[in-house]
Amino acid sequence: MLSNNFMNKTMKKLYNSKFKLMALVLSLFVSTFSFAQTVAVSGKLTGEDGAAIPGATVLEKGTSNGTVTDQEGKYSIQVSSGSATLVFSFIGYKTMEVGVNNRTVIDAALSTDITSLQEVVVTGYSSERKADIVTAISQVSAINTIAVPQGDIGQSLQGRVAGVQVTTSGQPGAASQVRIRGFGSLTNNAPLYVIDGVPTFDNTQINPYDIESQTILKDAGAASIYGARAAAGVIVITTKHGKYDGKTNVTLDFNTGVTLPGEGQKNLNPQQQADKVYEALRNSGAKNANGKPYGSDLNNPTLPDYILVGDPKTGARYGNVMSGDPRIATALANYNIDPSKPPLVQVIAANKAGTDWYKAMTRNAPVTRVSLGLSGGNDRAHYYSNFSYYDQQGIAINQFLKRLSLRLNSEFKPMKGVRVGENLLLTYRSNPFIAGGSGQQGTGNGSGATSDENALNLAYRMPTIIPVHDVNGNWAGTQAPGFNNPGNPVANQTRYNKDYNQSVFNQVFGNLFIEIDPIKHLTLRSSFGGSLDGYHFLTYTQRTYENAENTASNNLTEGSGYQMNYTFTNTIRYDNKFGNHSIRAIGGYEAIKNGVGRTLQGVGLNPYSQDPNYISLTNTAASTHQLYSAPLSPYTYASFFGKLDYNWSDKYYVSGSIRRDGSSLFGPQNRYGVFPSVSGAWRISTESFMSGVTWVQDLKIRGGYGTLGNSNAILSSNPSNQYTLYQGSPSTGYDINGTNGASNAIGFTPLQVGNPAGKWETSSTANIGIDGTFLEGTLDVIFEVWQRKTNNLLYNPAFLNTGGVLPRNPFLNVGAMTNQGIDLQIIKRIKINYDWSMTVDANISPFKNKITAIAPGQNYFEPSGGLVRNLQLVRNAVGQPMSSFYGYKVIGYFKDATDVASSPIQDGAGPGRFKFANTTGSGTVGPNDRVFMGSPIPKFTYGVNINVKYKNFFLIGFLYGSYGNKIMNFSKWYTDFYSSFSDAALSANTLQSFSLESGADNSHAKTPVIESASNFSTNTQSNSWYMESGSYARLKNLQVGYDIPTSMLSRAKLSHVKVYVQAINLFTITKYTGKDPELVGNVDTTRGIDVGNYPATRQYMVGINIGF
Amino acid sequence: MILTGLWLASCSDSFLNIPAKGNLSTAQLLNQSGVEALLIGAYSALKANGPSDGPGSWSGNATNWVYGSVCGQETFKGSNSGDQSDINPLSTFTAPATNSYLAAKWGSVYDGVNRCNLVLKTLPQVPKGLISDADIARITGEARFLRAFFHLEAYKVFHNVPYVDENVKDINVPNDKDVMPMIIADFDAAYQALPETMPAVGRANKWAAYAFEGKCLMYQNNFTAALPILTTVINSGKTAGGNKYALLANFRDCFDAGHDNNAEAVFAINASVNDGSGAANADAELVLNFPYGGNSYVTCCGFNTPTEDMANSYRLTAGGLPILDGSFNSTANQLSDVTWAKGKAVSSVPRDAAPIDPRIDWTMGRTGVPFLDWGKYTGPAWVRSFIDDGPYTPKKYDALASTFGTYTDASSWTAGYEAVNMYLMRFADVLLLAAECEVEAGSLTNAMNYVNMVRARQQNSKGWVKISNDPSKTDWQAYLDPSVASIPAGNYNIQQYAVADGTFGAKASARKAVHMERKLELCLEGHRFFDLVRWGEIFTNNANGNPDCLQSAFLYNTSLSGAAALGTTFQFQTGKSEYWPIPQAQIDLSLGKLKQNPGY
Repeated sequence: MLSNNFMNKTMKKLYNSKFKLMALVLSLFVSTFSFAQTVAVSGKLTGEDGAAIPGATVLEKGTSNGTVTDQEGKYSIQVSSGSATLVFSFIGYKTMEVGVNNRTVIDAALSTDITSLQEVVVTGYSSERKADIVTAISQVSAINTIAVPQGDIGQSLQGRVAGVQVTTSGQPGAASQVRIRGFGSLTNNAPLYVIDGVPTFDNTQINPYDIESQTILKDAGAASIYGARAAAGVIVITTKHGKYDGKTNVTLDFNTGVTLPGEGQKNLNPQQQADKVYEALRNSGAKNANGKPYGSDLNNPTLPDYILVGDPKTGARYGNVMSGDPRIATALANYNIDPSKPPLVQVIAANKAGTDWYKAMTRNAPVTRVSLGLSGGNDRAHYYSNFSYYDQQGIAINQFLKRLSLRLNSEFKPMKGVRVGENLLLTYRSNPFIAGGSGQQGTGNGSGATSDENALNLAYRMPTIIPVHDVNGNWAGTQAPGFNNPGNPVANQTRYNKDYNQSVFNQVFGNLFIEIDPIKHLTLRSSFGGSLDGYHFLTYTQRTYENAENTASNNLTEGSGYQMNYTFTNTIRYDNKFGNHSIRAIGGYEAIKNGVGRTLQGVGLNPYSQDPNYISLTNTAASTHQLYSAPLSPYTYASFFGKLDYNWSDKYYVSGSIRRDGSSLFGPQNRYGVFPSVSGAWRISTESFMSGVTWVQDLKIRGGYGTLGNSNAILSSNPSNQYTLYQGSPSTGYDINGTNGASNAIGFTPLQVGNPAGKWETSSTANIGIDGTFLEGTLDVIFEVWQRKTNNLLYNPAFLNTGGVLPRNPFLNVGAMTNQGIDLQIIKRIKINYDWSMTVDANISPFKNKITAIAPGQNYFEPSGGLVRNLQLVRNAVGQPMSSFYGYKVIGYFKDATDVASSPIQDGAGPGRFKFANTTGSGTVGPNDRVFMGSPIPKFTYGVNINVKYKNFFLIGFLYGSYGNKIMNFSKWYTDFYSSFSDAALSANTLQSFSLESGADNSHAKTPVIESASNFSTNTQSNSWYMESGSYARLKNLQVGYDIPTSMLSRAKLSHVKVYVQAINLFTITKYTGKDPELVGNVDTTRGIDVGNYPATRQYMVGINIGF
Repeated sequence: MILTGLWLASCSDSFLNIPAKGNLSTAQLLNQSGVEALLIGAYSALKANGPSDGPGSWSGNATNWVYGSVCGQETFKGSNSGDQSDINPLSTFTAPATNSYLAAKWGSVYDGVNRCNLVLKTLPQVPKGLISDADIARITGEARFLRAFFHLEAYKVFHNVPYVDENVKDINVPNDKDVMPMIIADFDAAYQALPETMPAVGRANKWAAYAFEGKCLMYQNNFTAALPILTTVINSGKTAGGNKYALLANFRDCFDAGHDNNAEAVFAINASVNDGSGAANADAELVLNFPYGGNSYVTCCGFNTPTEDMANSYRLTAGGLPILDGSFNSTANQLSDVTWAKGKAVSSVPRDAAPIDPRIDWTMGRTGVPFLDWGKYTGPAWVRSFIDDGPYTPKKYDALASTFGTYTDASSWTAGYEAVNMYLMRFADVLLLAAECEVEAGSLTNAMNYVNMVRARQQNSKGWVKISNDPSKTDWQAYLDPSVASIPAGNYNIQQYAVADGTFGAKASARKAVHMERKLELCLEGHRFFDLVRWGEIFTNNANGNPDCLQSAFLYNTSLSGAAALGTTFQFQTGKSEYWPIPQAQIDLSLGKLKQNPGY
């Protein structure tokens, strides 16, 4: 009801504003006649120190009549009358208004204004002036949060803040991976989000338009007030609110555009492929071309007219068929693609021009976002509400993210000193992922690394000679013999339409709060918040006929669940000033319970009808049912915390905080942890000896040390870590009665051995920084040096198999890791003249990560995600950064038999194969010769944001870069070796494969000899040949727009109208040869392996932003 | 508000005590159904599906298609050389200790051991009176049987292995002892404890334990002790369901899910499908081992393809007996399909007219021969990569097209998940083991009789693969119904050994005949490499130097197919390659207590 009233009011104002706009136009018209008598005024503008201010703006108030001061700070202007008012403004100075009062000379001294220092920054459980901050904190503004259209706000942090690394997949809806100051844990480095006081690890639902500010708490001094879950950093998000000011604001944002898929990896065209395949056969000693699709002459491959003609009688599938062959007519007469009535009889013509599979499975994908915000208030209440619709279609067919969200924030003052209110977000989200794709369905997460054999991986494994469709317009594929096993990705994605691939997530997120000021300076606050989620997903995988390895059934998988999380926070805050002493204290108690809920999932095969209106688990065959249901594993925290900030005369600052956390994640003996921090600062600029240093406006040296607890590893992996448990399900059963299925006996098997002695990880951070504002407030510099050490790191090391191979190994407090780095941010504001101004905001964050311990007797581990196609690519080892690439160093290709004979012994050695470095010098190349080949963790990341204004035009450019990270370009394993999946597509790299022909020049060979062998010296070992530099710089955003002058709009009650055009990911500078160097993955121990990532591609947008 | 805080603080301990949800704690298992379910969990480890018990593991298999069949050169790994490439170095005896298949095998067997020990550790904790003494004895016997079986697997593959029993406190057990006496002791205890007939047909019974005990003694070359045990098993043994051990009339029936737990099944992995497990209880081990394409319903994935040497071994002499001098690979004797591998176009391959053992056509796909009820096997269209795989494909355990959906499960990524049981000990195996003992004991006639029992079944023309002569009937209908006009798919002139032919007149030739019979009868059942190691037939098979040994098979095969993946050099090293290296990760974790096998 409340919002209805608000709506009515707003509509009335909208209605009124129409007339006001007309009035404005009229008045402008009239004003051109009113320059009857003008008065000349001149003068000089200086700073407080008497120095001239050139380039300052001088404006007659209420008009667009203005000028700019010259080199000596002098100006002259004709004003409309002697009673006019002049407005002097210049960046870094306080704007000054002076009445002309019939004077002709007006000199003025502007006082410096370091407004940015007065900004209020929301921090842990409170907010403080930027000037008073003594810890490592960065903020991202609302405008930067919405700069690039994206499904989740994590991406808005990319490149904006020093010390924060963000990677995002191009798949709409995939969550970004956000890492603050490196990696403290081997298991979970996701930061904690605190949204309007409610802690959560899921930021994917929040609408970017609702965000007032995002504050990143980077060091212990800032974050330890959040104790237990803050070790990976905290991002405090504040949503927009109305004001007790009697005003009503309406904003409408609309933008729309298109994402272009770009070009896929270059594969061989059909004739090149045919030539290469037969070259491989010849190189491998093949004696004939039996079963191969390019004719019978090994030395002279030819393209057939038809790559598949089925035989209705025997079910044989003929390749190599030429036009006019009578078998074609027979097949067409008996054409059959129904796998339930074998044999399949298809006719597929060769696409001699070549199919671009990437192009076929992608599209120009539209993006639209609309946001309508309302805010207002009077002296007793204020409110903010926003309705937002976001629709981003993915470049892959049928993949998309749609999100509807409604935000309702309000606050009331029922009596003096009492405020009550709520922040509430309701979200509906539909976000299916690509076939065989990445991440988890249902949870709205999707940040997982792309899996092998996803639709994008298949797109570059399909030979180009295969058309998308057969001669009858049905799907074509590797049912045609002789092309190995990739599945048709266009068919896969097309079948995965909105009826057959659904993922819906609903959430209510928010809190209710009350604040009471019982006496002056004292505030009590109580907040109860949390989230209630529900999800449902459905995937219906259909029986296929076009592939070599067909799906044998119509498989319906459907599931749903709910989850509830709550946080109850009570704080008491005291804020006062006694003379030069400023004191602020906060204390509180917090109870958190997360993960209450259940999941339910079922599988059923072969429903009677394919009609999506009919399909349900109910009408699939009972014998095919699989059922899963389980309660979630909830966990709780109970915590006390306190923080004291003191400063003397805004000069000397001391701050300390302490938090005691207890958690259900640990057994009773080690359940509680206490985490203190201390910080201090000296604001040198306020000292008297600095008063003569005019180029320094503000300078503060600050430092802090503290410890943080961390339980994220077991929170995300196994909240029941302390218990020894067994599992029992049909899949741990056994057909003891020999019934072949009817009465399977359920067996119990060990699930985990518990570790009741588990305790908090402790991460200690030290931080020293300088905040400076220089040159009349036009230059801000923030420089910090930090170090972070994690001890008692929770890790689940491998155990001897003689104790069983359990699904879950217990987390023990065994590991240790260090991170150190530098955060540097420089903001330069340049005002060239009245029309031109520019801001450059650049940051860079070099850092180093090193594992210093894993477990007793274990100095490395190889995570299962780093094992792809039997190749162990990644090793996490003591002394190395996490997820380092490990393998043999390729020193070239064996030139010939003589080279093989004269080189160290190497299994499978042969001309044109990899020659590995015998680093041990043992004479035989073996596992001990492997070396670390680099790390996927960048040496530094950087961002440059440029904001240029010319009159009412603006240009925003945002460049993000990553330097020094390595990528394992594993896509080459699939397409650059004949033997990986023989006869599937080969990449254009193989045009320069090592040639065995005598006299061939192999000095520029890009790939090993093309052949059928698969051994130690060909494609079975991780080696440096796959390694590529993953450094890149990408223009994430380029935006040009026009702000319709406010002087015009204000009379129409339009506060602003902005129109713009925008290009996202306009260009990327990189040497990486894969599709996209920005690889996503939420498992930090196996990063940077490219098996066909969903790329971030170019996007063009137009938009308008209107404020009433 | 403060009061609320204090109240919350006071009850925070109960607030912080959250039990594990959705899983069982130890306390819930201390009764008969709990222990029985733990025992089922131990049987479940036979599936070797790994810790999650999901489908898809073919690397830790107990049927040993990799270690027994591929490494024994009776099959190629199959597919194309880069697919599951870690099998290649196993079959060339060049695998390093970091090989992923070895890690999976080691993990699978010791996971099984751990589950057995869990049964034995939990049983005494159950309050007295909740389980009858008879059931305690049975449960103990089954657990000890399974524990022995898993250790035997470890022994066969890695040889120098730790023995882990329920009394072990520190799981870091060294591998410094010969574990065979402990394996035998467990099997013997199971033999003593277990009843003859069991409450369920899939359980190990007294006779299964005794048969394995006999086999273990043969690993010690203790033929004298093994013989009476195997003889007793043959004469008195019964299946867990109470059927007296016997050979089935039709060879094919042994490998059909409809005949699971038959009179020939001494012990087998019981597989099931469409049971709500998402194929987790199907025989994941064999799921890759179907022809690739052809007219089959299952097109995954062309692995475990029989070699040319294996195929030629089925050639019979004019007298209907196996060729024991190794000349089955000669140009005169080799099968006509082999010429395809040699470079002839398939269309020019003539029908193989010379006498051949009928078992070949139930064991492998051969050109022109019906592939069960799927239609005729036509060669290249059924093979994934003939340069790697040769012209043949595995057939023995494959489901019939007509039982597709009944004995197969299509809920996982491929339709090849089957319900057919996988033998770990078949009665024919027992007969041939006994025959070996009889040879060594000098009782050659007994040996011949056992071998002839196995051969006699193949003389039954009802059990031969047929080609229909009636256009209205399929080949399979002709097989099922003798009244349909048909001809045998091959020249199946198989005969029994006779005193007159002299083979069993001398130990050496008798031994060779028994060994050959094992090769032919048990092909694709995962025994070959272990038998060859046991016999020492790696480089030469006997004093005559007859080329039927691991080396000759390897060299012959790679001269035709598979060379791209395997090379053409036989790299087996005596004193090393008999056993594979212990997984390096396990040695590292043991902090040196586990010692690597010699030579690695």
